[in-house]
Amino acid sequence: MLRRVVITASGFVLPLGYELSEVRTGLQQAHGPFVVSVHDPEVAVCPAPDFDLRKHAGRCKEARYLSRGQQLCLASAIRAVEGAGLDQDDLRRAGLFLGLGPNLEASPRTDKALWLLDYLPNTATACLARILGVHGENLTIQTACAASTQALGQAFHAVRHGLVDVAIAGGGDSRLSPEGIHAYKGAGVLATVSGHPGKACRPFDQKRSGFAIGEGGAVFVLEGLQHAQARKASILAEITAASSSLDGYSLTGPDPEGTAGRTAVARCLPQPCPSGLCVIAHGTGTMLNDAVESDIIKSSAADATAIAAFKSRIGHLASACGGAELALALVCAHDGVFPAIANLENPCRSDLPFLTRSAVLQPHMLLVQSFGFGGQNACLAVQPWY
Amino acid sequence: MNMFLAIRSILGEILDLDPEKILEQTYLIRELNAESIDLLEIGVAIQHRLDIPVHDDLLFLKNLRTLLLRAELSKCPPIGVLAREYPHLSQERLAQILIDLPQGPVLRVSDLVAYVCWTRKDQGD
Repeated sequence: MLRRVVITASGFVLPLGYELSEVRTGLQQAHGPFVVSVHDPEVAVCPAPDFDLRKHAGRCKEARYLSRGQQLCLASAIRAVEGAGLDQDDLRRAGLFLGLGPNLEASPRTDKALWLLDYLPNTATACLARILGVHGENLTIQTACAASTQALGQAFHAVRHGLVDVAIAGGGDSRLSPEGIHAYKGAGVLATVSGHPGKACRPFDQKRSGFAIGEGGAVFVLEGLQHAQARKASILAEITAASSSLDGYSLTGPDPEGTAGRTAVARCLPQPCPSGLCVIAHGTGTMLNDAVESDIIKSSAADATAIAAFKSRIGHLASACGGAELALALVCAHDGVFPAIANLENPCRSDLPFLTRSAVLQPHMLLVQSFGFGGQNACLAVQPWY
Repeated sequence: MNMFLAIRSILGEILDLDPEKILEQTYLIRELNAESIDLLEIGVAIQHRLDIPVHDDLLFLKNLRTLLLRAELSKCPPIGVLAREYPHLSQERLAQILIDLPQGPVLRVSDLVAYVCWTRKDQGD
């Protein structure tokens, strides 16, 4: 029998802060805490303030092999597990599902014996397993900007099918380094900065020009409903569906028809479209991505109550974006207030319920959409637990 | 260059420890919990930063127990066998190692310092 799967803890390290109160305050501002990059005055970035892995993990010698993004993932996972109240036996049997990005700063070196570990995507997973004492089913996923959403989906399936009672899942990423900025500039996907860096990224606006780079991590504890109830865990939400698909079209841009993206959405959404649906859009703010995503929403979730786009407030967290946006959406759902999509003045289409201003809202369902490079699509359907 | 300070800095960085807490007599494995991959990194860092050739077997006394077993089988005095293999360590230190061995891994920070000083001297520095 398939199990119901709930989220019982959320740990995050985000540009808005690490604590719930900081995130709440940040979401009330007109703009996210964007600044001009110290490496490139043409680029807006949204850093995680004063991040130091030691504050979360204590001294960690393995950090010498971890990128900043992987360290953000570790810190988020530690915070999630601290908040979950799991015992050691739960952790020993728990699964670990992480969506991570490449280490763009890695290079073959003469001053480091095991520089190979800088390249291996599962180095962070191995470190975390050791820190947390987790030894169960696991998967490290590198599917570009769909990675953390897909990791959550795989964790959902593992719990749902009884492979594990508990799964720790999410991701972390950072592309604020000179290498990261250089890579994105080469791809031509960054927003034009003219004036206030907080106004650079404007998802779904007619004058959008690309995204601003963020960094951070978000990791969740998933468990079977019965397991959570038996240990009297507080429940944040229930995940009801997860999906992924491949465009098979381009290595960067989306298929203009959005066929595979639409399939991923359809697999998550019950039909008819449920009332009280809030779409947590990928919303990069690039011309083509937002156009295709809008078409997908129009054809698959036209009756949605609202469409949020958190990249306008924290930047694009690359492989960690879906997890981070789910974390923010759950905070908003439980507070009953969703912020406006920052800088959305003239929506690209008038027949969709983009949040052009903040709204009092307690959605029945969140649809998290992540559409990454390579035509990697991943979606989650999540019902906040009120 | 003060070799102890240079090695202490390398150890602090690789093991993510406060260098001030690392003393010459501190045990690397027994007290600082250095693992095999840490020793690999320490060896490469010493070679790279102090510009000396490093033989991990000598620097970390990796063959110590094998050498002692060989000495026992060939009925040679253990301290003589160790002195030939580890010319950077004094007779006094080797005698101390033989007494200390039953308590666990004997490698101390001072052994690394001795190796580096001996190698640099051998290079004519």
